[in-house]
Amino acid sequence: MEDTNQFALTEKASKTAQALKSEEWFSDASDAGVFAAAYIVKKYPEFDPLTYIPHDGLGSKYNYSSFDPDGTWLRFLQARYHTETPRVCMKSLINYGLECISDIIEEHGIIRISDFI
Amino acid sequence: MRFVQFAIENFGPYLEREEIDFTDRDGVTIIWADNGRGKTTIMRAFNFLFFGNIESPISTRDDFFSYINTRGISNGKYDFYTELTLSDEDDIYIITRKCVTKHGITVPESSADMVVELYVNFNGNILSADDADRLVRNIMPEEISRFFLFDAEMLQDYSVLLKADSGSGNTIKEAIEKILGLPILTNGATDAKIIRNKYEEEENAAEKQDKRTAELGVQKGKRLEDKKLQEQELEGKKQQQQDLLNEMHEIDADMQKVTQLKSLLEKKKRILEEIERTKGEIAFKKTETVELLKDAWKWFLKEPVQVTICSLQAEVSTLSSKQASAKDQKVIIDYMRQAIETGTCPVCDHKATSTEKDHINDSIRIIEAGIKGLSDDELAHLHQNTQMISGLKMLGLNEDHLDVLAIKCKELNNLQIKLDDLHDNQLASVVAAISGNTESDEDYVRDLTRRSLECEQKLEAVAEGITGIEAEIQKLEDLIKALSEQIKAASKGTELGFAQAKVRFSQGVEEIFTEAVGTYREQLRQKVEKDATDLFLKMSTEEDYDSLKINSNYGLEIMRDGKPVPHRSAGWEQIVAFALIGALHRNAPLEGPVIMDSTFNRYSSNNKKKIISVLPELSDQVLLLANIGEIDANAARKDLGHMIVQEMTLNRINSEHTTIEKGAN
Repeated sequence: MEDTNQFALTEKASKTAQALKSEEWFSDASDAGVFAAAYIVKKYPEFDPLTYIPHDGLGSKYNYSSFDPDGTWLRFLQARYHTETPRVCMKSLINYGLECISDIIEEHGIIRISDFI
Repeated sequence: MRFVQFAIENFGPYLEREEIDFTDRDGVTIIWADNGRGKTTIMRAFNFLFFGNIESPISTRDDFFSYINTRGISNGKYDFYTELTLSDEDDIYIITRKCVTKHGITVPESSADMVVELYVNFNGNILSADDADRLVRNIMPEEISRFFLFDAEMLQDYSVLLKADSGSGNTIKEAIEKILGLPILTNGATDAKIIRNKYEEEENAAEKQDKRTAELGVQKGKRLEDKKLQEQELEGKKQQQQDLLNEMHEIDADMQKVTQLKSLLEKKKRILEEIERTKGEIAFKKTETVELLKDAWKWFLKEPVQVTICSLQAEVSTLSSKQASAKDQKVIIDYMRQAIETGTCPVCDHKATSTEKDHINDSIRIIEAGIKGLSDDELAHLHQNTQMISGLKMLGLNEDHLDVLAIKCKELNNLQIKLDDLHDNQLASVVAAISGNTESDEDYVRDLTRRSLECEQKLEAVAEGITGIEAEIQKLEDLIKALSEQIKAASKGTELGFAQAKVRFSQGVEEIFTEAVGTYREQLRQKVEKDATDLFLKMSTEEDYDSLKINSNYGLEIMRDGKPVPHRSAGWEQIVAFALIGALHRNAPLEGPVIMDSTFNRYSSNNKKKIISVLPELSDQVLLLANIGEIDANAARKDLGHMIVQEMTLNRINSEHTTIEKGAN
């Protein structure tokens, strides 16, 4: 598989990132994506981003650099998952993370950041 | 009478069956809760259980539909109930009041579709509906419920007792005398009087029949007729007085509504200010949280990065060991070769024989065959891992402030709950109460004041009339007595003796009862005054307040240097009311637990401490529904000591579901 610098989020993930932005928890949807990716790495260590296939690519499109401007994630993901495709890996983490967050928000009926800490 | 267990289900925020188990120890049970968790609902549930209605400022007393748990409605569960297990010496009562959908209705849409049912299990037997109703009314008559179930806000109502001839004051006074058992004596006096009148008529009939006493008997008969008419007039006047007192009661209630409206508007203003303050706090706290959230992803990664470094280091360590081992073996081979070439061991200078050299050569071949250094791939892997470790270390993901973020989030959640409660419960109830209170314009207040004055004047006139008639009756009684004496003298040796004895006996009984009413009432007042003073001084933080003085209405004045303290504050009003309630419980023949939904926000911490310490003296069983923010839990535990029998907490699962948990959070 080829690593990619540009990717689209799923529709559900994209809406969640927008909601977190419009509720002013994050100044940018990409910041919400980074938070969601880190949330999954920390809370769901068994999740394998290398085998995960996002449902669709109907959400907003992003440049990888908007999530990882200084390459921190790149270095971490290469080391953690021994992968040649860390950007694809990041895409999976962001999509899965935002979708998990969406499910929890839906269950509680409100955005409550304490649910994710 | 002791409470054993209280249960509630599908009522207000209590979705599932929740229970409060009262212990068999005397003392205070505290249920801790934040605002909006369901404290007031517990009070309303007790009201529903005992009286079949629900007191609320925002709904009518029979608006049962609005009390069905909303999650329950979503799940198709519409019935709710409250249940109380009581013990009275060896008897056990289980009272269950249910609100159920009417027969034939599957999905109720309003209270009209609901019906209330009462069941009482008495020592294992289910009572009939009438018996159940009678028994519950006897256990807790609604008129005296204010002395058992009360919230602190209501305590101010007792200030009307200080006002003579106040309608509300009279109602409360009657309730007080009822709780103290006075009606037993007043009913006795009334019955004795009826009997005496009957005997007097019988006696007079006998007197008229005897020729020696007939003339005097006719005169006495006329006086008795006059007295009867006067008594009828007195009855009428007393009825008039009662009607006027009732009218005053209504005027007082309307006056209170006006006062209540003012206080509601004040309350609304305070709530709106509190809402704005809370919104400000939320905005500030959110800014702090958002600031922290920016770095939260780094804190999330700290542990995974460390785990990854550990795993890489383990691989590096294995490869490095393998590499080092191969290197060591090569050094040994070099030594061995040197020994063969020079014929001398480089370590111990031993001269090697040719046999030994052959043996060393064999050993070199064996060792060389066993040396496993790193492959090219392994070397690359070692290099890559070493680089990754240093790369990960350079990321600087060494900090974790998630605990700080978690605290901020919790604070934010609590503020949001507070805001929801202020907005959805407190403000909504005040707004509803205000909208139901239309009697507010100045003309209306003036008219009320005029009617109140007129009523007072009429009451004065009626009171004068009553005094006049009573004096007239007294005069007639004196005349009748004098005539009776003359008849007695003239009737010696006649058949009148038995009729006269009956009259004398009934007069004696009536006098005993009349005197007993006065004496008992006075004694009660003195006892209530003494006990209330005792409790008041325990709660008072003012050293120069030296006692309470009771008036004929059971109103209590605070005394300082022998003079009443004027214009006491609402907080002191409540303390005086606490003292009155405690004193009534000490002196009442009817015993029962005290349940209080208490707001302590009017008091200083010193006042709170003293009031809490006195709670066990109010009754054997006291249930305090305490607001977490208003009472310092540790201080309360210290102040109550062993008198705190248990603590519970109302735990909010979500806005539709509260549970009652044992223990304090």
